[in-house]
Amino acid sequence: MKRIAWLVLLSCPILFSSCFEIIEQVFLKNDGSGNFQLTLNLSKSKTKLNSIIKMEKINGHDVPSKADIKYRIAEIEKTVAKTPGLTNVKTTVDFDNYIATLTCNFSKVNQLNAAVKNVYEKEDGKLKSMEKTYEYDAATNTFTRLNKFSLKEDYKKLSNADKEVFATANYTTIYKFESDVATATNKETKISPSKKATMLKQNALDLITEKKSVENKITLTKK
Amino acid sequence: MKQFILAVTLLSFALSEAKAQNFLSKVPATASVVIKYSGENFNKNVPLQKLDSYNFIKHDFFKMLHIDTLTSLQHIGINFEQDTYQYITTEDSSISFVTLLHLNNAQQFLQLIKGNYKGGDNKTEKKDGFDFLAVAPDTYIGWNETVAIIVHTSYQNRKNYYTYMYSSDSVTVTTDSTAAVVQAPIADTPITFTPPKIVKDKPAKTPATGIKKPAGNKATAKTKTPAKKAAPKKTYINENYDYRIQDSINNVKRELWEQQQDMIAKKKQQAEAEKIMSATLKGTITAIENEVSYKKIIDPAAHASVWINAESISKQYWNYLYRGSYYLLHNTPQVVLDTTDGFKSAMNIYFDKDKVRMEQKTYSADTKLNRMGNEVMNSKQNPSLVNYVNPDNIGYFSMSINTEAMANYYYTVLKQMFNNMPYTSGYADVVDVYIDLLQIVIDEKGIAELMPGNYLFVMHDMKTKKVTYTDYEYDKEFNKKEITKTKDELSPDFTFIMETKKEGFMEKIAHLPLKFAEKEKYNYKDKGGYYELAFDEGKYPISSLYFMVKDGKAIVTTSKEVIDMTLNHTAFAIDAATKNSILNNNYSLKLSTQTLLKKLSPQFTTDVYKKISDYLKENLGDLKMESSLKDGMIQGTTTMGINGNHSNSLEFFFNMMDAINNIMESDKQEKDKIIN
Repeated sequence: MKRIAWLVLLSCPILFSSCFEIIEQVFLKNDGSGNFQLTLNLSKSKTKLNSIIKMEKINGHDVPSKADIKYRIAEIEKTVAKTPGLTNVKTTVDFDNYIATLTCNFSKVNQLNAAVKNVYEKEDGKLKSMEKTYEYDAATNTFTRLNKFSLKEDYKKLSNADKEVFATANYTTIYKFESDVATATNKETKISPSKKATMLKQNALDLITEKKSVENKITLTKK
Repeated sequence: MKQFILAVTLLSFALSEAKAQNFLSKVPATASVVIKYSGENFNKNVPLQKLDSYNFIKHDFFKMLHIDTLTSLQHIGINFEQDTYQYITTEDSSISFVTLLHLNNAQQFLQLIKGNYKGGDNKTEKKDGFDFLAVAPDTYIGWNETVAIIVHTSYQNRKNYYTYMYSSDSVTVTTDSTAAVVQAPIADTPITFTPPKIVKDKPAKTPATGIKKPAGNKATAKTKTPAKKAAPKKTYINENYDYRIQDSINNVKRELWEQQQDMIAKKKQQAEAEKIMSATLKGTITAIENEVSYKKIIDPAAHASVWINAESISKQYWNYLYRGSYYLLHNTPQVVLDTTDGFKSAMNIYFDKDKVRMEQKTYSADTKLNRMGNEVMNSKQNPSLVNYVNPDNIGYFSMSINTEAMANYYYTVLKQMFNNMPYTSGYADVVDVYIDLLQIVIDEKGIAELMPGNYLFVMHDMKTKKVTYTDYEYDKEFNKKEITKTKDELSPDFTFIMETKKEGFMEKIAHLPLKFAEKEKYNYKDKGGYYELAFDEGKYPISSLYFMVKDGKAIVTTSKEVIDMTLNHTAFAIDAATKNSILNNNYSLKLSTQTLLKKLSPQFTTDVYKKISDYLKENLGDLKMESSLKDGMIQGTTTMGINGNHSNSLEFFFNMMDAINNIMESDKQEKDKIIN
């Protein structure tokens, strides 16, 4: 249950706002280094959030103040910044539009895995299945997005009101490369005309219920 | 157990019929709340066979009652065709919620009970004239061949461990009628005992020497003198370790203490339950049926009724709230005995063919208090406020009370409140002087001139408004670009009006924000005759909020039309019925559920909400409420209209619950199918 809570903990007011989008963006160089950006966009629900954030509780959930949210995001930034190899870690939060971002540079994708694990462990303290989120094998020129954990059972336990939050939410992954993309295993992946980028936009509910998946193995052409 | 009581209650609500033995003679006059489920038409309105056919009854209620779906409600031993009563009472420091049920088959009822409480230590005991079953430490059932009593009770006089721990001496719990009884389950026999007590400052031994059991660790049957304080040793090897050991010992002691308190509470609760059952089934009770304050406001012909002794509830509330303070202050809680003061309220409910009707009555046997209540209602709505109710509004609420009388009434209420609060009751004379002083200082007439007591809130409409939001668009290479999009959101269009005779003061208040607008960066402007607080376009559902003080009215509205109307001395065309309702009542409310649901429809984005909304649109009528002074009492009528194909309004409720349950169940099944 805590795992699904983590998804909403980044910004608790998304509860009952029902429209939000998470955008995960990775730019990967051939040497395995690159840039990572995670965006949480709640702007479509901003008028509701302007009201919700003034409340103490909504349907049994505590509503954090702007200061609480800033603090939590700063904590996440600190945790990520402590991860060896990650540099230029930055977070932003825009309370006019309710958009939060986290960006950083990495020299190896494993550092991103470590950062994700550290953040999860700090929030949850028991997550075993988040060992790997990304894999990059320079020898075979493959970049893999993994998804080893399941939110399905946790989702079942949510109240109907909480379930509604995910009904119209989207999760978008954008991966960009120096080399050309040859293939992508996830059939819904769009490949750009230049073959340097892929995009996969999916409904959050489909992901949670495992009707669809973010898993993807992208093979790049050899230089 | 709570679910069981709830299920039985709801079924009783549907099926009771006034016949046979009158349970009202079994409800004590000291009850603070009395609920009656009765009415000649109840069983005719929704027969048991009909109830059996509802899916939510079969699948949810039956499950709650542990009945298989093939069984009928006719065969669970409860006679739903007779009156059912529930009441709340406070006796011997226990608050009890009592349910009185008629039985038509004690064996079937026993089966029902056993089905719900299989296993465990629940054994039926034979008492004097009835069978008795403890189903939980706070819930007991007693029954004979024709009557069943369920008592859910809570002992309010539990001792506080920390009060005991920090008391200067060992406590001898000498009992009043409210205190601890360990061995005697029924009689209030005083028994003394000394619970385990921490010997403060006594250090624990080091691990090498073992842990010696501290003095005073045993619960004994006689009073003990406090253990002598031992001088702290200076030879600790590891102070943290010692501290942890002592902490563990303290925790064990506290748990032991809590266990003892649980035991005391359980014994006390059981004693209370048995006492209630015995008095109901065998003894005589000073019943509420002879109370004037009950008879005066409860209609025996009502299909259901609720009687509330507000005064008694308030005393119980303060007793509960200040329970912890009793022990810190070494006081004992009051037991509510005086139920003659204060207001008694009743709600008589009728399930008519086309509407549910609730008649409320409020009355006090105390002439002075009743007069004060009546004086509060001695007010007429200002006719000029009526002009702001537009015919096709979503709803309105009009209130007209006498502010000066209300202020005077509050002084009496305050005095009573402080008299009832355990901590202040001993200082009633001092409080009395303070409140009199407050009365001298406060200018009630001045307040009444500022706010004479006439108010009106109108929800004109729920319009859609374009609001902006940030989204992203992507080029061919999936480069993200921030763009601004718009979407429709509901924007409430409302007006609040308050009559005032202090226009100058209200004008000053309305003018004040101008001074700080620039510094605080909000857009508040004097528009000549009114003020406008404009919100950032696209950021909020409301564009502007208008403030105006004119012709003895202070107005806050989102509607420019209302402002223009006031400036031009024009009015909405209101229908005669609404006008009469507002002008002839102290309180008048109307909510057009059809209009509201229609306006809210765009917000129902999911199939399940759309279906529920459609169902309600087809079946729900308008909600109306009126209240005024009649026959020396505050009386009100609330009605909710019923549309659609229902035999009567009681059946409508069951049909509605069933329909909504079916919609949600089918949605759940569909989602589960996807997940699995």
